[in-house]
Amino acid sequence: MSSSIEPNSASELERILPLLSGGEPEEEQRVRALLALASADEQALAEAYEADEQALAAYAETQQGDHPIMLGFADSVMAQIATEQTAAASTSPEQVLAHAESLEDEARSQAPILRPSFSGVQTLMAMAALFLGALGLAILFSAEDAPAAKRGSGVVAEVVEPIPAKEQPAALDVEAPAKPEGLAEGSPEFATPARPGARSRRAPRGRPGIVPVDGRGGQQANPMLDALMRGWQRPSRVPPLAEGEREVKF
Amino acid sequence: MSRAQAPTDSELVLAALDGDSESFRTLVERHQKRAFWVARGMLHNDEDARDVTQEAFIRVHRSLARFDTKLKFTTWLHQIVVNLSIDSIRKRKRRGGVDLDSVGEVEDHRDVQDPVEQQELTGRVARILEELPPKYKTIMVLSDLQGIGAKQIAEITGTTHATVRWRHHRARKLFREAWERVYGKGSHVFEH
Repeated sequence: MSSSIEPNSASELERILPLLSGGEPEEEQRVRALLALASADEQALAEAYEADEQALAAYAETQQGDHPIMLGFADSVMAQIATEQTAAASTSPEQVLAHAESLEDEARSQAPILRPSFSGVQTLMAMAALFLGALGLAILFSAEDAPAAKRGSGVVAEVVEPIPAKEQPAALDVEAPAKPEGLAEGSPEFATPARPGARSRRAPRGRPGIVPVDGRGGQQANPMLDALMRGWQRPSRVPPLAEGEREVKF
Repeated sequence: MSRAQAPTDSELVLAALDGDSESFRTLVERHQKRAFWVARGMLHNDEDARDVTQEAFIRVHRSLARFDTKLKFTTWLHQIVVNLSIDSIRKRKRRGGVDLDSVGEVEDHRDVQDPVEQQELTGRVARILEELPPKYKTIMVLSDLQGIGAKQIAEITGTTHATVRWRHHRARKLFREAWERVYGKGSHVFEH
């Protein structure tokens, strides 16, 4: 055998030392020849290995022969095998299949029957979803029924164009405010006192043909309703007239 | 007239497959001793070793149809024995280990009465072997105690020949370290 056993170091020697036990005879001879040239430490290590080997050999001698516990071992093994074979033979394939089916039926009968059940919250959410869906469909159909807007009307609606001054009196058919004496036009006192809350109202959009008048959406109020409203709102909204002022009606 | 030769293991396996239970009994009787001692070397307990050996033969009988007659029967049997022994060691560890004091008590069942010194030595060796990890102990039991060759050990353990050689070296080193740790550095196995 041409194995390259060359103990160049202690670790290499240590690696090949187990070859002493159970190795090839040629290898064993080579190891022993190389050990003769080894250092004192390596030879001590080899001695330790040899001693271990002798101890293991002494132990191995106790691990042979008949053990009392193994008496009747073959009989017990054969009896066990016979029991298994009898059990296997007593159950024919049909019996095995029937047994499996019965087990399956039993498992199925014990399984709980699953029915859908909804809690109050789930029902509420489902109803809300239905309502929202119906509302969405209604809006969609009503939008389809409405006449189509003119092209560009949306853009025009955003622009509040100033009304020419000459058209305003004729279009509104309202009485022009009397110019108080002593007040210059454009002075702050000349301006109509703003009613509280009027600022929060949204300015009317400039739709074609409708002119904003008093900030109420460009619609002319019912005269009776307007009088009623003015009488009801005056004490709280309009400050009391100062001396020399007079009420102006539009 | 020449005497009929004993049937080989493969022939006995084939006969057992045909339903001849006596052939399988012959197999059991032929290999039970070594299988037991392999398990005994791994487990250091007679009862456990017997149980493992019995379970191994029962498994062999169940799987006879899968046996490749080109291989050695003993390799297959020892493979099962080693695997079952390692499983048993793991279960034992999960249960809480083993009492090392009982490990050293190795009874000598041979007819020849050995000196007390020899019995004490074997007890010490058993205790050190018990400390080794299973994969190293397997190599030492199969190689040093049962004298099985490295090639067959490689087949039994499912490793290569080189791996067995390396593990054998490592097992010897661990054995020496454990010996020095337990019985003192520089102590000789025969000096106590």
